Amino acid sequence: MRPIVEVINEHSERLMAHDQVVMVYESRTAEGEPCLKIGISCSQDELTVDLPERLEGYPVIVVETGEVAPR
Amino acid sequence: MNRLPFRSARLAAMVLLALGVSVGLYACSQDNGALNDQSGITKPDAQAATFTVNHPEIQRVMRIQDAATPDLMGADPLVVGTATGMGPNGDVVIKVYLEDALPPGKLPGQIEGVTVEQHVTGRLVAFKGPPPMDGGNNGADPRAPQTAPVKMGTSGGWRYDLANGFCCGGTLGSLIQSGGTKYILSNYHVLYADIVPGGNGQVASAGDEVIQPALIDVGCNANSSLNIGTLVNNGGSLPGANIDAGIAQVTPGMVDESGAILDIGTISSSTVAASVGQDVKKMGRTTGLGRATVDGLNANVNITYENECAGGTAFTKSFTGQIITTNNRCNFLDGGDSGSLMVEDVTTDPRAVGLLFAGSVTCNKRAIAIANPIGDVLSHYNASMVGN
Repeated sequence: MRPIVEVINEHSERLMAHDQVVMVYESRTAEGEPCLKIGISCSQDELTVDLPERLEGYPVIVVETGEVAPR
Repeated sequence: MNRLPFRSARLAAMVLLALGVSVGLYACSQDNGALNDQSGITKPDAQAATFTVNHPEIQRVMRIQDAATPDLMGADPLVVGTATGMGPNGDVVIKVYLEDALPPGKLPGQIEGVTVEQHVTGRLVAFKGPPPMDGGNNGADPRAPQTAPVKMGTSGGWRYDLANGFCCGGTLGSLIQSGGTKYILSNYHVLYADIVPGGNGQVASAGDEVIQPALIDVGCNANSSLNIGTLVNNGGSLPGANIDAGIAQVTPGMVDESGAILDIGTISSSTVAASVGQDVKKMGRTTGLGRATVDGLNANVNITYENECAGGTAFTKSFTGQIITTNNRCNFLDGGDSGSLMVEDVTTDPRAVGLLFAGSVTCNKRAIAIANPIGDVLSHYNASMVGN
């Protein structure tokens, strides 16, 4: 598999083009496996875009971060 | 800057007036001419550079203002404050702040020969964050006024950061040094984000003072704060760079030059890269000493900035390579904590990890905080951390 940072940079612009996607980042699953996390501004029930379960072999976890702003 | 809860400051303003505090009742205005007397008159323009709070003419008008304030405040419930300031022609005037316009003749045009200017500011309000939390260790209050030399990890901001009915502020995070000169490190959006004359008639500029505490913690009255540093040319990183950083040159004697952070102490001059699962801590103006865990790296995220305190949209910045931490119910990062230095969670001389600048607006269990990698910040300024 490609390094995860390359996968993020490859796909984040496309993913973030959707209004409900606020960020894409590298993280770990509960089992310690490298994964991508996608922050969304709404609840998963309200999500109107289909997000992948895996990207280039890496699992994708959707996180309800809400909107983000300077704090 | 940040979206802090606010409350009416009218009561506080009236108390200040009752105590005879003549200068510095700070109102925010939708009237472009009303706020050239930021904090009274301590922000003179170039043509009035000799006018400071100690100037004899200022002192004379302040005495007249003090004497007249009870009558002015009692003239109508719509009068919300008074101040001594600069008129449009550079003369010293008494300014009367109004919640709404008064009929002609309601207030005098002059008092003892001093022009009385009326400014419709609306109600006076101050951005206020919730009480600081201390992580359960009964830590110091980061919002409290410090005695010089002040520590980092405390409330601070641009001295003139008020507009549109609000005043703003953030956290003075840490000290960095470059070429033998020491600088306070905070965020662009804490120190440099006022880029339009807009609601206060000015923009953040090199030479402007940085204060401790921030206006949000002194009822929008900068005269209750210490000037501890000054903005510098190219001190703000946005919109160009991939970091939200702002620096201010330390005023000699006003800052603890060991770089000590309140409730954290001295830090290391070395830094460490973030890693997933890393335990980190920070000291911020709003939530105090807080702890979190790094949850993500290489984050791509879009952040929208305002063009002044409570202003309009300035631009949206697409950041790459950012650090994500857990922020359960915003206990780690909330409005006003911006500028905090995120360090590794060790007791002695922790190494810097990142510069906190953004986070979730909704404070639920899944809230996150976002930091610039500290290495990127230091590279931008060709600087190093001040520490052991």
